Amino acid sequence: MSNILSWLTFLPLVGMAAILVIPTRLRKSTGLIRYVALGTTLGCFALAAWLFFAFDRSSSAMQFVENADWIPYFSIRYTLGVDGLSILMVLLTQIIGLVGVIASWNITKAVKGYFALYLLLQTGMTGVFCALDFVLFYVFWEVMLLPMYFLIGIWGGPRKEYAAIKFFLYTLLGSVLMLLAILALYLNMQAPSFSITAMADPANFRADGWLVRNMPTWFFGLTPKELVWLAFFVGFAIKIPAFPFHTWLPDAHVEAPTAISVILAGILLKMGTYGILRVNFPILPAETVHFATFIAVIAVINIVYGALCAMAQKDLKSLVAYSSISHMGYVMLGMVSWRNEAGLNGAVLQMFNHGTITAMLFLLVGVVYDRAHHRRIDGFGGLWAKAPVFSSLFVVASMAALGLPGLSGFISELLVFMGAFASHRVFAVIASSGIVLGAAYLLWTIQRVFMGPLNQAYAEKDAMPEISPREIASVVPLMAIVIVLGVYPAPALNLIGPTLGSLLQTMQSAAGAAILP
Amino acid sequence: MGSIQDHIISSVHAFAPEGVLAATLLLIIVADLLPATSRPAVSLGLALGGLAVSAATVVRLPAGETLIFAGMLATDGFAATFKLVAAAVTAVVLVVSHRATDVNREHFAEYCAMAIALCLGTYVMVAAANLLSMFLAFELVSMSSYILTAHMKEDRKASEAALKYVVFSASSSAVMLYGMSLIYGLTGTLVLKAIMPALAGNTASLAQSVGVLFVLAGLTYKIAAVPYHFWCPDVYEGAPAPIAAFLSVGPKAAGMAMLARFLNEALFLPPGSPIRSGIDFGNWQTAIVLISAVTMTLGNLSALRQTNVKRLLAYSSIAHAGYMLMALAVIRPFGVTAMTFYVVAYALMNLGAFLVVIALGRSMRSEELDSYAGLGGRAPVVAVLMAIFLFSLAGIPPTMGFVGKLYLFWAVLEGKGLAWLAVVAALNTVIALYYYARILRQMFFLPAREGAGEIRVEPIHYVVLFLLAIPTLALGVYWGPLWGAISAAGTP
Repeated sequence: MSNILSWLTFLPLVGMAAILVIPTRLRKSTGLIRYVALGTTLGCFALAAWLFFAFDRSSSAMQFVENADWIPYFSIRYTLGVDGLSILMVLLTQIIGLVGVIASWNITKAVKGYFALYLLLQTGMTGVFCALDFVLFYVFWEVMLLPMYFLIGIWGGPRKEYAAIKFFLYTLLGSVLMLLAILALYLNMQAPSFSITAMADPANFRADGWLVRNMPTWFFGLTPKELVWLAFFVGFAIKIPAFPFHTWLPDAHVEAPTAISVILAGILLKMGTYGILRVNFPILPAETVHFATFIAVIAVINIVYGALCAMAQKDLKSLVAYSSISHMGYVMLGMVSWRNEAGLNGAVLQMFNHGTITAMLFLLVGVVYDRAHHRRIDGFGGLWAKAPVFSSLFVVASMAALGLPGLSGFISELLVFMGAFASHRVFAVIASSGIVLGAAYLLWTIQRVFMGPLNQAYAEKDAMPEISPREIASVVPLMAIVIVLGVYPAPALNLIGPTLGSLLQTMQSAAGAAILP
Repeated sequence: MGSIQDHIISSVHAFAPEGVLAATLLLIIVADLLPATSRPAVSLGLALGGLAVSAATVVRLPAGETLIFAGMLATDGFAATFKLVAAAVTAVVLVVSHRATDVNREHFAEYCAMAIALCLGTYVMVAAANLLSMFLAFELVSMSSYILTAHMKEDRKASEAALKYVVFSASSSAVMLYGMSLIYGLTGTLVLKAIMPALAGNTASLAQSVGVLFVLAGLTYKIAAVPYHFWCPDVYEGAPAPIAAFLSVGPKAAGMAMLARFLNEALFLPPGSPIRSGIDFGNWQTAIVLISAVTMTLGNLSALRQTNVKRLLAYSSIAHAGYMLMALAVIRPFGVTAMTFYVVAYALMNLGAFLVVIALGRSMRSEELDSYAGLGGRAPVVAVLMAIFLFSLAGIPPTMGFVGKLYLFWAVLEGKGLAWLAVVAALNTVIALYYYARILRQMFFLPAREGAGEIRVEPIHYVVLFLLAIPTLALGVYWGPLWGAISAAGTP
């Protein structure tokens, strides 16, 4: 299993090729296509499970590294590897990928195209988290964009075209800036290399390069390093999405089909924070320290503003979308809290937990949409009487989202606040209002949708059928993870601990005296 | 006298590729006169055979720079690369034209002959190392282009396009010729390499600037860069689709090559020479940088609102000229190599996109954007291929268009103080995506219009589409050998 990461990344591509050669004239081609997709994601899941057990939890170094020549003229290399930062995201991708296929079972329009693009998307996502060479990273980053555009645009809701192009343009804007930043770093390397890990070592940069000399430029007096930092940050912030780059998210989420919303919220948003932790933190630590307060401010805006917007939503899906903006704020707040280990660990754990919890919420909203064909919060009422199993699953998922102790969301938010109170007390106090607001909008939603008298629109016997076994199968694995990690988070924390420990050291030494009490 | 004769005779073998093309041209005309061979297939076969032989002779010529015909032409690797591109483009266009709707089959022999003449013109253009040969080749390409544009004599739109083309071309040629005469008057030489040293001793700086700017004006016309781009959308819309495809790639590539050679040999100061204000390369760099930034921005912004696919692609090709100019602004080997690489990528993807328009022309009888509605369901293979070409034009990996853009950005960031140009280009990429996505939206997101007929695509068009799409993707994943070959071929 020396090239497990390549297998993990490209197995979906093999599945995609298999789906493309299935002739649609075949009588049972639709079923066959679905099972090929399910088999592929199950295979990926199995590989991920192996990876989980084989991962060395005591090391902070890159593991399962694959390194080969790709374009030798410019030392562009094919480098894959995982460390504590990426392993959790790789695992999450495989889990969400599997769940998404189950949730896509009721897609009937152009099934072949849907699952082909779906699997291409999974290759892109896994690749982003595994790539250690910037060119490779960028290629995967964009490869993920193409299927997403079509998945929203073809299989989406009424305003799908607008949502799809908005998503595409926003993300492309971020990524072209990132491309320029990547080239700027490369051109200042002593020996040509696009290696993300090599760039983390300042000794690899040319001493006479403009990046190292770092003289202020005409552009608002910012130094080249700060400009490079900002280019990366904007690219990643659009993906998170951080205020004020968040406006694509509600549109994309509301219009996307259920499984694609799940992937968007579950994985794509994490790429933003992953990118900041993978690129901005180790490669430009001094600039990260310089902008730490700036990130914290954006984080607080995300938390409070996202929660307030969520409270005002009339559509269930956009409520969950805005709650994502709020919850990603915790990740950003946690990752700039360097006084103790809790902040960074909480941030990365929150990335994973938000992925599972929000995925659940989107799946359940999809379930109710399939039955009611609308998502207006005030168009329901008293659903508990009609569908108790569904309702209780929804309530558990909401409790996880609002951070109820015993469920995984609580642990990561607690860690984030432990870090934030030590490092940014004022911001932490303001941000804690997000927890209250989060409880408010979720409980209020539960009340309006599930409690009270039954809405007469659903009074008939088969108006709101109970959640089906297939739908339960898509939610239960996530719920199991949420409960297990809520009671015993060590399996996740052990994976990320050593890597984040060394990252924290980098940040603390860059911050120097400023950070210590 | 003997030595000049010897020189000319010794030069002839290096002129073999052009000679083969000229012979092919005559052969096609003669074959068309004989009743037994007066068929489109024969003309096509002769043309393709001639192109293949001339490409083979290009490859077989000894490497290394030689000036032939008393410094008129340079037969270096750079020229050879562009000649191969031109031959390939011509071959693709002819194969496609054979089964295209808007090509007159009765006069297909003339069509082939003119296409070969255009190819011959590009051969000379990319090799021209003397102001005189530059102008002659330039005119040969222009003349053949008018005739090809007006090939459908009955089509009023095509005739109008050809007329516009002639007027625009004639005026820009005149401007260029005037610029050349100024340079000749100031320096007493027509040889590109001798211009810079001769200018260095001259004091009439205004005349120098005007002369060089006028020559640049002619070249920006040929690559359809702002401010000489107005002809481009009208001509592409009016001309038969295969010719629009040809004009968007062949002459543009040749123009880029000629521009690169002119900048490199006539204006680039060798290191160590005294720099004088008014004539040092820095000033032309400013001009190129500005033309590049304005061209890409204007091209992309104008493309946003187009409703005709050919016009849209025309504006997109204007924007691409801007991207390529960007790399020429940093006139060092890397910039020129990046430009050459991009030309190859551009040839593949732009021909591909135009070819989709051609292939659909027979069934659609319309080149309006909204006739593409629902194409993803009506002709999925063509729609997916079009998507590949459009993504490549937009510069999204894993396509060759992305790799090309990567190197262009790279070249610009290497140049001192040009980072802002790279940012402008990056923002342009985002604007461009919007209008490419408008085609995608029609094809994949919207349902077919009522009464939309069945789509039939000629088998040969499928073959050529795949021949273009496969390298567009494959070279986007593994482009090392191609880059190696292009950078080994060298720059002027």
